[in-house]
Amino acid sequence: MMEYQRMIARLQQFWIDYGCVMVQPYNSEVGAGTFNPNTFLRALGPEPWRVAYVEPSKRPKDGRYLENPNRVHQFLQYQVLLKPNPEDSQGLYLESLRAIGIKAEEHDIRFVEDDWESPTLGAAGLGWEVWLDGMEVSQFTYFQQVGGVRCQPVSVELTYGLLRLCMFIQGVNHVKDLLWGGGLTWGEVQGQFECEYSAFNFEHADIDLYRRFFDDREREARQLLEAGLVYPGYDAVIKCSHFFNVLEARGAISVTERTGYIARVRNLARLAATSYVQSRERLGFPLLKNQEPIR
Amino acid sequence: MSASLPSERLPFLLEIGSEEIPARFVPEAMVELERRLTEGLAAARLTAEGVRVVATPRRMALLCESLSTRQPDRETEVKGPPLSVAFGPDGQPTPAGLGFARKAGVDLADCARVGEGAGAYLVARRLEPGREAAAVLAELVPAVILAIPFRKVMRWGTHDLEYPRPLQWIVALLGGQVVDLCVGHLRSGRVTRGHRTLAANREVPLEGPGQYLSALKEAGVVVDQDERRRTIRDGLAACLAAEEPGGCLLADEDLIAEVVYLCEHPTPFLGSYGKQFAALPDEVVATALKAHQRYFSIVGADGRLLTRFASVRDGGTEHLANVIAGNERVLRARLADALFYWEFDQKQTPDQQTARLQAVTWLEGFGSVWDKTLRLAALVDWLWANGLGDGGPTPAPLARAARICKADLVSEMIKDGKEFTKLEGFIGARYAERAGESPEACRAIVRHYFPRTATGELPGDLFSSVLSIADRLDNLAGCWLAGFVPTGAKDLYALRRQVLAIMRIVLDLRRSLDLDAAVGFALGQVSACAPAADLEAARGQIGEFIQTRLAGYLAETAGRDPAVVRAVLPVRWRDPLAALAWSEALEGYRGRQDFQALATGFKRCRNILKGAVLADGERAGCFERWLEGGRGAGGEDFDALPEAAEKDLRRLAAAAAPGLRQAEAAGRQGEAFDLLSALGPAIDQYFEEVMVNAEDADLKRLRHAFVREIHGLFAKYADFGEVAPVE
Repeated sequence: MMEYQRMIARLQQFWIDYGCVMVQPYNSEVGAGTFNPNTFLRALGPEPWRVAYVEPSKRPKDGRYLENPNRVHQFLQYQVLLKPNPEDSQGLYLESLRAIGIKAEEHDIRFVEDDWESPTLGAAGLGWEVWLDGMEVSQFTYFQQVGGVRCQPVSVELTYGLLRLCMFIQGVNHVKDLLWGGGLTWGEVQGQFECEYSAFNFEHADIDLYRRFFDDREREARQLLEAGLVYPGYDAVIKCSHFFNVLEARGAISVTERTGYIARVRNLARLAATSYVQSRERLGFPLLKNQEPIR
Repeated sequence: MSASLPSERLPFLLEIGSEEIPARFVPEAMVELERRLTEGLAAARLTAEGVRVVATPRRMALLCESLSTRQPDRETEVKGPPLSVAFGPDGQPTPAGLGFARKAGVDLADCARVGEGAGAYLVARRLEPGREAAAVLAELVPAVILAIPFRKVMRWGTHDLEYPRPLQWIVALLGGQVVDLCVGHLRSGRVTRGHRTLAANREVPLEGPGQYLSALKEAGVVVDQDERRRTIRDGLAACLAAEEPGGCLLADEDLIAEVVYLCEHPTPFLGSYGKQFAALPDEVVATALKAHQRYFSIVGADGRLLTRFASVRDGGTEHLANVIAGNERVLRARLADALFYWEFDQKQTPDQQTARLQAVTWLEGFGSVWDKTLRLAALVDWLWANGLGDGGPTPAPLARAARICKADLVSEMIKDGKEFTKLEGFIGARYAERAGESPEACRAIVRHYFPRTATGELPGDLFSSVLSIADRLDNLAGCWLAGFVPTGAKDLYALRRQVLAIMRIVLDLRRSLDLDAAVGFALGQVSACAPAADLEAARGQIGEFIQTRLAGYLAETAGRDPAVVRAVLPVRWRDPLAALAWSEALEGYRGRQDFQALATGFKRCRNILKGAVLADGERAGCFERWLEGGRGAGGEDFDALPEAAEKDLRRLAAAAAPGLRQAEAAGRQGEAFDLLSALGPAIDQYFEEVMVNAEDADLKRLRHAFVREIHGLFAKYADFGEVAPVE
């Protein structure tokens, strides 16, 4: 039986062998691996970049107190960003599935049109959702724009839904029954956390407090980014996005307000993106090393 | 000059390999590839016969049975300067003469002299040898590929190319030879690729175009879309016959068309889901099957869904059990989600959900959807009282439906753009039904969204129709004041279609409705959100907008003669039913000779008056004046008209007036036209015998007043000048 942790380790090994830098999850709440600065910022500018990491993705609205077999508020994604995208990204992806025991010829694997857009990040890309016997297990995106900045060269982002993949491999029907490793299930490792956070997001989060958090961090983000501190500034942007997600799950944001909040985060994300490119330019785009800059 | 080289014909293959192109892009792109490449070849004087395009998600190929391998030679002729300029008086070439020859690429001595005397000039004739087809293709093919208009394109890697997904390879073969060409960084070759899983994406070298389909079939790819379509249809039928003989596949043509371009090697199969989802309406299950998973539904003899589904694998029959089990799991999870929404939503009543619409913006700056439902209730009352109703107050089910018809927008099933969103209305009705609302109200909740397309099914019953009209009038008024006035291709809220829908419904109901007044009422309601708006101006613009749409509808869809429509609409546009009835009636009369005389006379009236006809407001009075025997709008006394023809016309017009009034009031258009036609000969006579612009100024004034009154009487029915024969 392929344990959850072993499946992750195999993916890590695969992408290390490919030549990615392997980083660790980001130390802040993110809704998806895309928010991690190792993707959001590094996708910008001319420097090449290959990175892979596990990202706990937190989506307060999706909590179900562990009652829904497939839906939890926090789950692990496996994130790969390759810039520029290799010529055979699809083949590479299929090889990575083989590394975790999924042989394409024994299944039906499809690349089904799914263009991706993040209004909060001012980002958009074209690609597919990958279907494994009808189940969406990964997202495959060629970034065209990030933080309002045109991507040149273009990166490909591969996002694996680790829970879905592993439930598929283990043939488990409820997330809590997934065998994590060390003799424990997902429910045993993560169950209490999941239930309490469902209650927190839907029932207990202090609306006034989180609104204040948002306002404070928004102000901080702007000050820091304007002062040229890209990473600390961008961290504040990530926080804003998370606080917004909590407020939304809590039912504290009307539809009209929602547009306003998203626009506020997007404006900050754009500022972070342009500040990042400028900061790298000032440093002479160090990762280009001896290469000619890519037009 | 060399003799023309013989041209032979060879088969040609172009294959564009890419990563998976969205299925919905492919059919259009195939048409464009074929059109652009064949046009390009024709323009390059290369004969191409037996051209067809085949495609899968990963490749699009143009096959040509026979293509000329070189262009025919061509003689070109360039006109040069006059001889007097090209040669000096001494007969020696001038710089101008030499310059012309050099530019034309010939010796001056070889230039022909055309014409006589002073008009004679030089002509350079050159034989331009035909180019090799390969050379032409090397320029044409890349340009064509990159110019195919896709709905959405992307960039990738470090390349400066745009295509819907990254290009991977190009095969270009003329006979057995590679046509050497480059599309960006990709250089053409003879190597294509096999099926991704059945043949491990292996390289497949091609000897020539003729081998293309068979070589790929051996490598697991059915390139011919028609063959895939047949395999899918026949295979699904065979599965059904074997496993579910009583079942009937809902052969959704759109879905088949999409699935054909989602696979390179289709293998149909059947799967099952459990009975635990029986509580869900069939439409919800069918939507989960189709919208998200691209599965086909299967129904039993009673028309209800069986707990089976049909789908297509991209691959062979090996390990098919894995694929079936996987798809079944996915579907169960989706249906479990739907069942959760279904049960969760019913914890709230339609009224509670409607109250939550206060938090849903309708149109930025134009209030919430809750506000809209209040307006709908008032608009429904207005429509009921002003032509669409059966008398009496608005019936309770209609009033109720107006208030709760948008409740499902906040339901879990519909909100957030899930796959079930297109069931809006239907879901609201199911919830309303279970909350004890009347069947009529539930029906109106579903059907007030009809018609969903320009030619879609109409709401049908009276209540649904009234609510549908109300919803669209409110959209029209709100969007107009919010500045979303359609221009050119831009019509963000599909207002053209909304107006078309209103007209179709009104005509379907066969009831009269004053659209101008209805728009006025709707504008008045939304103006609370736009206090600065100029309502009268908006009403006038919307009136013109409606008139244009109605003209198009009557002429194109209802099949009425455009000239007749143009004649009737200025008078009748406010009421589509009347506009249709009068157009039909007029069309029946326009060929009659006495009627033609009337129409011609009408036009002559207007021409003589030079546009000084009765204004809209004076026209009603004109009718009254004729009922009293006829006199001018300024009190002119027609007794003073001397000629017999004008006395006759006056008498006949006055005699026709009461009958006209009755016929119009009773909606007997034919009778009205009978009466008007009967005036034709008298009008004809009038213009033959009477000099309207008489020398006597008083008489001229009087006759103008008279002609104005005659014109006014007819103008009440149509602008007959539009149907007059050309003079």
